Amino acid sequence: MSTYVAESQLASSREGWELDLATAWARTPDGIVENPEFFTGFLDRPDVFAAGLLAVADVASTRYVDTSPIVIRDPVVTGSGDRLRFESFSGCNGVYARFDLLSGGLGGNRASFGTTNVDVSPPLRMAMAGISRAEPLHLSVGHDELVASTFDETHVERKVALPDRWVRGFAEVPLTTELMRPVGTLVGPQIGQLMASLPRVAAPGPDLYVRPYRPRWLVARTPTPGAVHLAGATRLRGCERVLRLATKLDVYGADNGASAWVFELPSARLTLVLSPEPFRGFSGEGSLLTFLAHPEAERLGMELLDEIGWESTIDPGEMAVRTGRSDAEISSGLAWLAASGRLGYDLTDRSWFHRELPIDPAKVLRRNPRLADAQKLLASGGVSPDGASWRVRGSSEPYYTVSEDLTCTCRWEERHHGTRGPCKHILAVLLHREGAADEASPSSLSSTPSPDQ
Amino acid sequence: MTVSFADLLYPLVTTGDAVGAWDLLAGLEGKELTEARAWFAKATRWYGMIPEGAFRQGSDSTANHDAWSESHRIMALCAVELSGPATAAKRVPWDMYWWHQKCVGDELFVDAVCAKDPAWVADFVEAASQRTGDTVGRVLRNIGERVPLPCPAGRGYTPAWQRYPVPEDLAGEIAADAWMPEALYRFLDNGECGKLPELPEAIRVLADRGVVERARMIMHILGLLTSPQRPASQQVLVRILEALDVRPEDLPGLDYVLSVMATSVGVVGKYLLPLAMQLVTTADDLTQLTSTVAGRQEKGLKQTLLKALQGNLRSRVGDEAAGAALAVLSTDEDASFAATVAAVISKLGLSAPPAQEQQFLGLWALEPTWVPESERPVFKRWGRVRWSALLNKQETDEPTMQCVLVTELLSSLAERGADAVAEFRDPTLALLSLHSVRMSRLAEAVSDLFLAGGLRYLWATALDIADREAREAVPAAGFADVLRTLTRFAPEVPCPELPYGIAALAASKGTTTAQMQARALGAALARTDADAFTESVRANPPRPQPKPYRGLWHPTEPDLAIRDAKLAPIPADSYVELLSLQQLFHSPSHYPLCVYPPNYPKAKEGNVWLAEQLLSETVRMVREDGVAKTRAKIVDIERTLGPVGTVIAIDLWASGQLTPELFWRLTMNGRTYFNHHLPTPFPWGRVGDCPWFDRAVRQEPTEQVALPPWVDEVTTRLEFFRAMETLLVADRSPVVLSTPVYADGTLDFDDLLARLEQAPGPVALLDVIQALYRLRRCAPSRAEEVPLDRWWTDPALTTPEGGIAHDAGRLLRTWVSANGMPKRLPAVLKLHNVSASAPVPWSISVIAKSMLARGHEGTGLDILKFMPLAPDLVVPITPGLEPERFPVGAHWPWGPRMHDAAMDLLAQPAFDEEIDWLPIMLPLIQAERFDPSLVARRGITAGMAYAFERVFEAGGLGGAWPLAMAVALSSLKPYSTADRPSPFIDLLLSYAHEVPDHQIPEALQAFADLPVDDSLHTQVRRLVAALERP
Repeated sequence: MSTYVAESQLASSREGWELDLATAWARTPDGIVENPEFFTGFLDRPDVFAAGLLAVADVASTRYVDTSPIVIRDPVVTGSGDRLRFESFSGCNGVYARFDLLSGGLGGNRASFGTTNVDVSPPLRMAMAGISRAEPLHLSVGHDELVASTFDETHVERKVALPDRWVRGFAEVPLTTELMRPVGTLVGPQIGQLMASLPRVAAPGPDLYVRPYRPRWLVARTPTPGAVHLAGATRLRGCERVLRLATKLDVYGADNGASAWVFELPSARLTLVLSPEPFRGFSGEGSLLTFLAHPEAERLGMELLDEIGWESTIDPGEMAVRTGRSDAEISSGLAWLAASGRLGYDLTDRSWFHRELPIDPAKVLRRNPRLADAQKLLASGGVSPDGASWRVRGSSEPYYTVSEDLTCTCRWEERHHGTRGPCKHILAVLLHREGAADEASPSSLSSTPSPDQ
Repeated sequence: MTVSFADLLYPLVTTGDAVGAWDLLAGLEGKELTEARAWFAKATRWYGMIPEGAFRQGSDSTANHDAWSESHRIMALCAVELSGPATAAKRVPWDMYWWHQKCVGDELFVDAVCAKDPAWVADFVEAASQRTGDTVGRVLRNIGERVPLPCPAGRGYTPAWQRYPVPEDLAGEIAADAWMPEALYRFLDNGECGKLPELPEAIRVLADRGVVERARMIMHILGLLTSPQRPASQQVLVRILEALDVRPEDLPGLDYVLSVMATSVGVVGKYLLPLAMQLVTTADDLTQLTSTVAGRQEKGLKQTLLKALQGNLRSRVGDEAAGAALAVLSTDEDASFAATVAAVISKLGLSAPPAQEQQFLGLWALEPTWVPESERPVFKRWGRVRWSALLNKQETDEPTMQCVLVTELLSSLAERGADAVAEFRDPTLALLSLHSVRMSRLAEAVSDLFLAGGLRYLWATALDIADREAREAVPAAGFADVLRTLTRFAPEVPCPELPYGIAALAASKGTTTAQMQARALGAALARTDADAFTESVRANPPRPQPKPYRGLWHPTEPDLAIRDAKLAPIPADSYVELLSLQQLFHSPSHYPLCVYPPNYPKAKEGNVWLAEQLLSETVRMVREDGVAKTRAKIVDIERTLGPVGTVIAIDLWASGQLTPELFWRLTMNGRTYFNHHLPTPFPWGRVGDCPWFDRAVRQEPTEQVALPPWVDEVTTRLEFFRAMETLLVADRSPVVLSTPVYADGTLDFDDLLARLEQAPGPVALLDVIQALYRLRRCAPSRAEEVPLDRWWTDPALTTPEGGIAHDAGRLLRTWVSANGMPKRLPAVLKLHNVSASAPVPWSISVIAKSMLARGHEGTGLDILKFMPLAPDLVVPITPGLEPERFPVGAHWPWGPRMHDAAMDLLAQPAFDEEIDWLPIMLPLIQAERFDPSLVARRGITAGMAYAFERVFEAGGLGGAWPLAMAVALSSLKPYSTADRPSPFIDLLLSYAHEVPDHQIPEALQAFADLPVDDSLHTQVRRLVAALERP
């Protein structure tokens, strides 16, 4: 967890509010620095910004699987030059929300580069809910805090820690969304019609199948050809804040049942990504294999890290030309960077973007319980080569066989067929193959210095 | 030796001596205090490790419990005295503080806290308010009364006025709260206000009295509405705003209102919409407001906005903005609302929005996909998965069942084509006749089916269902949803025909939702707009299409073949296979006594008489091949499962060790042992391997013999005994007398006599008796045909001692001349007092007494196997008999109890799609046991419509029409206000053209002639007119 050297202070003077911003560690192009300033200036559409940020905060403060209280987490903000991106996960980690404030909405200003997180507490929520299009809003995303101020008042929010599950989600979502295919587009009043046709019931809501159709999309409870799977329909209510401002809705679906809903707003976008099952969050399990199985990808990724330079859209073709690497190498390296939480994926631009979390994602991914189990197996000598395959000690059976193509004979693998990432036996084999038996520690992975190191 | 603090504390804790503990803690100082603190910090499990028995100081359980309760307070005292405030708040066992208990330690605990310095107390109270427990609030309030503190912020603190029942003077108690006004704001923040619906009025009073600042309260509520709140809390919050008479100028602005409307429950939007409309000043404001309202399901919001757009709101924003908003509202799928919007647009002289583009998906050509059973969704909640449950509005709505049924039906359609439509159609029509269809669920299900490839198969059925409902005077709630679904898919349908009922609804005067939707459906099918269609359909009023004459009138008796069916013999080559498949006997079906529906699991098992037939086949082999060859053949049959009843007897006999002596040991001293007493696995491969068998052979005759659990049931044991006896005489009389000839378990006098003729030697007594109980009634005079002194029972098997034999011929004579058991049935039927008397010396009816006492499901059906002429025995012990277990195949005639049970089944509120009701209806009708007045008296006339339709369609129109007319006439008398004769009259009307006889019952004509102009009389007049036709 990063720390602050001082409290932020807000005071009024004859000229208006004076703000002394607190400082903290942050990830920027210059590495770990103090007092970075991501953005300052008036916004073109204060109402859009307020609604979008509130939508992201709504998701962060909601748990869609039950009503048990949650610790409200802070959205993550990334400055990318021509845009600001605010991201969050729901309390159950099954919904990912991202609000992109695009260049057209920054009032002619440019954002600096870096990533931190911001707290949207009830007073700020109340203040932002009342922001209208007509009322100028000066936004400062600097140091470690978000400041939303009108001419009347200013609220200062403090930054807090980034939970591990978010980090695993940040590693999982880009890889999931990259594989999504567009399902359909709605414009204008059709968006409201679709939302009104969804059952308004307690979270997570039913599993539905939404079929593009004119004049209005069709909703079914049974799998339907050409439909996108909307798992836990109530989880889509995270978009309600921006619905009145939305001009277009692009829907994407993945083969594993995940879906993405991109709401086009004036100079902004809100993206909601829903996990394949309401009671299964983005746990990072799918990214683990990418993270560990391809040491070559890791090397490529680390080399490309210097090239991506906080770009808001990464063009793999241009990067291939610039670095002299093949398209396959670039794709492999970028996928590894995404799996390590360093890249996000923008469905509208169909491109990766650079986002460096202010922690070491490699450490977090290494804390994955399944991976920890695999390390235990390895450390206790539970993995032994058997010709081209491996024998791994099992729990309900003496041993399981992991084949050369990394499939396992355990029941978990039999049930999920790799859709939920590799099992602990495969992970143990991967670690064994890496020769990490003796180390079995995060240090073997490349990691960048972080504020908490 | 120094005694530690823990040692001193232990006896105080276990005896609940709070005062002693308090003295102990107060006396600690210096090193002792330091050591005690160190010990307490580590001893987090110390209390939990004390054994429960340590609190029992004597036999007085109340005193022991009191000591246990006080012990918690002692631990709380320790926490306060030996920890810092935050740790103390954590270590106090709040969960163990109960409301109803008053302990000595309570006051001591509060004293201890209050004795601390104010900063410590404040920290403790704040930390404690974060804990949970029933009495945290009470304790904190007690502390707050003595020490001036700010109001705790945690959810654990509950104010005194938050209790049940709610205080009469809630406002007064809130005002008196020492922590007001913060206590009220904290309470609202904690999200529990949904439990206090009286709060809004109390806050209004408090605001009037000046206890609560109105502006602050409004801002606080507005802030809360921007964060996630429970629906009940949202309702209370918005009612507080209402109570405080919030006006537009009190609100932060339109954006705020829209933001809250978008994310809150409907009641919040309903309250805020008028305020929002007052805040709208620009076209952009109106656009956003309209988008917010259009994104909600509540029709009321849209109607409110529509009304405003015709007045003040339009004048503020101008025609162009109002037109744009109306254009958005006009896209609503509700045809009635869309038509209203269109009318408003026209009235205001605004330009009509362009027609919405219609896409074509080609669903008519889409075929359903078969899904393997293993991949089909599973209904995880309790309840039977069937259409009649999903669509029945009397049942709980189970949307998740829809996916299961839709998938199954689609798979059936893929497998069997249009034949599978009946799976959906029959139960839906049955429910429709009862007015019990949940229309909204039907609409959703139909939509799912159409989308996934069922459109071509199910369109006609769905249209027919809608047509029938459209003919109702008042269509069911949600009927418009069904029509809307049909309208949605109409562009995909190549057949433009609109059935009479829907067309008539569309043509009728009025603008109800159903009428407007019917017009939209007609327009969509005719590929035109609604106005043009309405004009067209009114210009050419639809006429009911006369039903084509089908020649259904056959004044013949309904087919009763089911009851008189003879039992098919088992194929000769399947003997070995059947004898080796013992699982047939583990859970035998009662087919054909119960005519199970198709796909019913029990129907896949063998018939109930299979064991009898196997025994008969074994004896036949003895007759033809001799004992030795038959035994050898049986021994060669490999068997891995445990045989039961008859098969055990066959095995035992085949081993060659069954003797009359062993027979008597087993019958007199046999006792069943259940699985857990038997070795595992139980070696049933050969009967000789049975652990009880060797002992049974070798042990003393008086010792108990262990029998396997499968012969525990008295019926099974009787089968076992009878089979052994029959096989023991098979070498001398190779014939089984009692094997049923008919499917209902009976045999004729001639059958029995012919079998006796095949018995050159002694016969088995049990077999004789069983045959008599299965003997169909015949003329008593036939008794004389039976020769005497020819067939004697085997004396070795008649009594254990031997020496006694009965003349089987005389027994048969006695039975026939006394008309057998049927004469005795009234006595038998005295529930749980079954007569053991019979006209023969050995009565099988005693087993009924034993089984009736047990009375579990299926018992009655088991009795029926042994007493097939007494079907009424099945009914009294099986209340709520499931339809699929109703013994429609039982021997006719049924007694009064069977008749009543059948009527009850027919009168069930929802017919089951899996049950064939015909076999129940037909016997009742044929025997003139169907009481038409009973139908109306029970208020089940509507339900009978579907049952009679089945009879008519099965060729029973001629036979059942008079009865149906009688039912209709009875229903026209005001027996029951709940009875609804309308569907039944509709049924008669739909078959009237098939009725050749033009005679109209006088009562019907008289009813039609009454000067009453209601829908029922109109309907009856139509029926009379239909019957009067030339």
